[in-house]
This record gives sequence, structure tokens and C-alpha cells, in this order.
Amino acid sequence: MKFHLPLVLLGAALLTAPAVLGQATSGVMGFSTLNCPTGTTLVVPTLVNPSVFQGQAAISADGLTITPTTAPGWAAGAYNATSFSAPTPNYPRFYAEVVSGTNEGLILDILSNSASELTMASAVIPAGIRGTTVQIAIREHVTLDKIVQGATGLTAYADAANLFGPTGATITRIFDGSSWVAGDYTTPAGHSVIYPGSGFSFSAASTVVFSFMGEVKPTKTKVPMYQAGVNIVGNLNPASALLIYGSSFKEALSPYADGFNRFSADGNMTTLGTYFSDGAQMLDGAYNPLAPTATDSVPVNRGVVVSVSADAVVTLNSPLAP
Amino acid sequence: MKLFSSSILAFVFACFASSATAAVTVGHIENGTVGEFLTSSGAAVAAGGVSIGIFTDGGGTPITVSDSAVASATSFADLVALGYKDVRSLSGATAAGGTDWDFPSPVSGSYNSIAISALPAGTQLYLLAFNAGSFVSGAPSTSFAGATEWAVIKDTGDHLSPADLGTKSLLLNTVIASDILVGADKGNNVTMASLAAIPEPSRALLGLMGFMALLARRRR
Repeated sequence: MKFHLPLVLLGAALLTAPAVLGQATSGVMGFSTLNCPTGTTLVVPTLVNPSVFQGQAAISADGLTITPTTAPGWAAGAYNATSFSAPTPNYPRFYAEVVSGTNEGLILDILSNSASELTMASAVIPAGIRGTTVQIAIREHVTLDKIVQGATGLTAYADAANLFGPTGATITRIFDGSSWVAGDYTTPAGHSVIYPGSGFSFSAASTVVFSFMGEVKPTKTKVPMYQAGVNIVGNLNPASALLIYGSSFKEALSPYADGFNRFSADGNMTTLGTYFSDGAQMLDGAYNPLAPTATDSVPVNRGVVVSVSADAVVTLNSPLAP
Repeated sequence: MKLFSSSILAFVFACFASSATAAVTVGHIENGTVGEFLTSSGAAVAAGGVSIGIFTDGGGTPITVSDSAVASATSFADLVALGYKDVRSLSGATAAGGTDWDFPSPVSGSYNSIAISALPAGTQLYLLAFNAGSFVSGAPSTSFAGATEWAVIKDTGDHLSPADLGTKSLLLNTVIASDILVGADKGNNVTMASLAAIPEPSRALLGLMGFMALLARRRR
């Protein structure tokens, strides 16, 4: 299958204004396309929305609030989660991300905000980060509606996405011609969130081409993987595939117990390879170490399906700071 | 009319949604870190191999078989008669290059592309080991011929088939004593037990009584 991968750097200037000033910075903007043939494809967007705030912030001792050290002057409610009436599902709209230090890449969902404080959707974890001051960035989540912007070939009520929750639940979203609806074909669900480094399985009735546009993520990304869930994980690099040999999966996977499958991109989801880790290096499906020359990779804008024996986190490097 | 349209849409979606190959992977490795099968005397297993499988009815649907029925089997053929299917017999199963589940160690490897329809998520997997023979594709009931020892693991907490597209690696270091239907827990390792039919105590007792009677008669 032909891979379209023009990475257009729309804004190459990473502004160097001190983040402590509490302002948003513009990063490297990118453009990337994904060709989905008829059938099923794993989709993991490689670009994120630009940050709307960056700065130092203190996390409360209970982990429920984050307060910038310099008054940010936010509009109250600007980062609030959605608040639709049932049965429409609600999602966080923005997230705060730790952008430096040992917790770099941690994604923290925002429930609401005042002019000076963020209230988090749940107490932030790991608990060790509570009561500390960290550098954060705030970004709007990528949603299914964002993903279909500029897409071609979509077929209403035939094309569908399956998202997978932490508990293993499958969440079906159906394209209705302009947005997405839930599995009942009526409930609005275009605001369903796709977390950085995570993805969904997409079923196309005929060839669909997604055109992703956004910021090339300049920092690491921590991607949670759930024991009970189907974890579709991919790299946040819009320019090149992630070589499995030497990848950070080797530390993230429990030795010999956890593994992942890589699939064909022809719509048939044929298993191309199975991979494990021994804790220090990546293994192939026969549990033999991958050779340094192995070209096995996680394709751009696609993912692998990871199975873990206990909840785990994989930390993916930024393509700008590998 | 609206209901009719919705039905059509649902049908179209259902037809389409099933077009992809849905498959899972099952793997197994033995080494000093994650544990190994050993003979009943604790020695490395020199021959035989490992089988991972499920019990199904005639239509391929997973079924529950009593632990006592499994444990009382005296051959692989007995297990097959109970509905046992090695994952290598399931639709789509494809060995990753280098996969080898036969003793002597190293035993390692996985089978992927197993149809989720043949191995639904959450199905109890059984991990078996035999000290002779090997799995015979196409004639499973003849598998592991000559085995005199075996082990049967039913790890209800960990050895369950994965969700669609997922991977399950069956390890021995997750196994606790109560998971072992046949064999014994030795730390990370599991030792085998006798596979041969054990004489019933009553029969042995009758034989002993007959022998004693014969001795008594000769003395008279």
C-alpha cells in the first residue's frame, strides 16, 4: 500500500520565550496523511493540538488542583470538560501535560478552570508528583471530529471507529456524514477523545485518506496501557516509523509476560509480527532477541496492539528530541 | 420508514464491521527466569513437549470440563475425547519463526493469527507438558505418544485468552499450587506427575490377598 507522508513544516520556529511567563508558544507544525484501504486500520494520530499555555505550576497535595506560579489570567471555564446531558457522553476537552523532569509526558485531564487554577478530572498520579511544582503545557485534546477534518473518502453510516476503554469496553463511533455518533446511530459523539500516543481501529467501507495537521510534539509522551484493555499504541512521529528494536517498549513491557502484535496495513489486519521483551531488549514472536538490523517497525500514524499483564506506561520520545 | 432505514444501516455496518481479520496471539516461554517444566524427579525434561489449548464442544464453542475429568486422563487422546483442542489446531494459527514448544529446552515461541471466533476473549487456556512424543497436527489424538509423565496447569487468574488483536504469554511463574491440576509447584517451576493409569487400591488388595492365600495353602 502506498504511504503518503509529506511532512510540511509550517512553522519551524520554536519560540524561545521563557515558559515561566505563562504564555503559549508555537512549535513545529506538521502535516501528515494516512491512507486507509477498505477494511480495518489502526489509527494513531502523530500530531497534537498546539499548546494554549505553558508555565510553572504547583500541584496540590491532594492532586486535585494545579495552580500556575504566575497568575495566568485565564477565562474561567475556558478549559472545562464537556457537560452534555445524557445519553451524550462527556469528555475532557483539554489536558495539562508535564513537559520536563522525571514525569515528562504525563497527561492530566482537566475538569474545569478558574482564572487562576485548574481542577483535575481525578487526583493526579503518580502520587509522588503531588505537592510539587512542575512545568506544564495545556493542550486541547484531539477528537474524532478533529481527525476527520480534511479527510476524503469517508462513507456515512458505514465507516466506524472502535475506541477501547481502560476496562476493556469497546466504544463504537459511526461516521454520520459530518461528525460521529455513538453505536445507537443517534447520540452525538464527535467529541470523543483520542489521547496522545493512543489510537483506535477504523473500519472503512472504501479507501479513506486522513489528513492530520497539528503540532509535532516537542516532549516525551507517557502512554498508559491497561491490563483489561485493548491498547492501541503508536509513536508521535509524523515523519518516520518507530523501529521496534531499541524502542522504549523494552522497558515498558513486563519481561516475557507482555507483548504486542503488529498488523498489515492492507485493511485485512493480518498479523505481521509478535513482540515481547526480556526487560533489556525486544524479542520476536519466538522470544528471540531482535537483531539490531531488524527493520520491524510501528508504521507512521498507525499503531500496535499491546497486551499487558498489569497496568503499565510506555514513554515515547519526541521526534524533536529523540 | 425510519426504523427500516436504521435497520438497513445497522445491517450494512454489521456486515462491514466483520470484514477485518480478527485474531489473537498465544505464546509460551520457559527459562530460569520465568520457570520451566521439570520431570517428577526435578530433572530437565529431555523429550516431549508443551501443549496449550482449550476445551470445546463439537461446534468449536468453548466448554467447561471438570478438573477431575481432565486430571484423570491417561493420554492426550483422552483429552481430545473430552474436547481438548491445542491452539495449533485452531483456525488461523501461525507459528512465529523459530517457535519451538518441544523439549528439551529452550521451549519458546508463539502462535499468532488465531481467529478470535475460535478463541474468544477470556477463554480458559490449559498449559500441558508431556515427557515424550510431540503434537501431531492433523491427528491430535496421537500426540505425545509414549508419555509417562505430564503436568496440567489451569491458571484461572492469568492464563486467559486475550482480547481481539491481543497477545497472551503463558508463563509458569504466575502459577500457584491451586492452578496445578496435575504436577507440583516448585517455585517458578512445575514438576510433572505420572500419566500412567494407577491400579485401583481394591484390585491391588485382592491381588495381595490371593498371594497370601496361595502362600498359606502351600504351607499346609
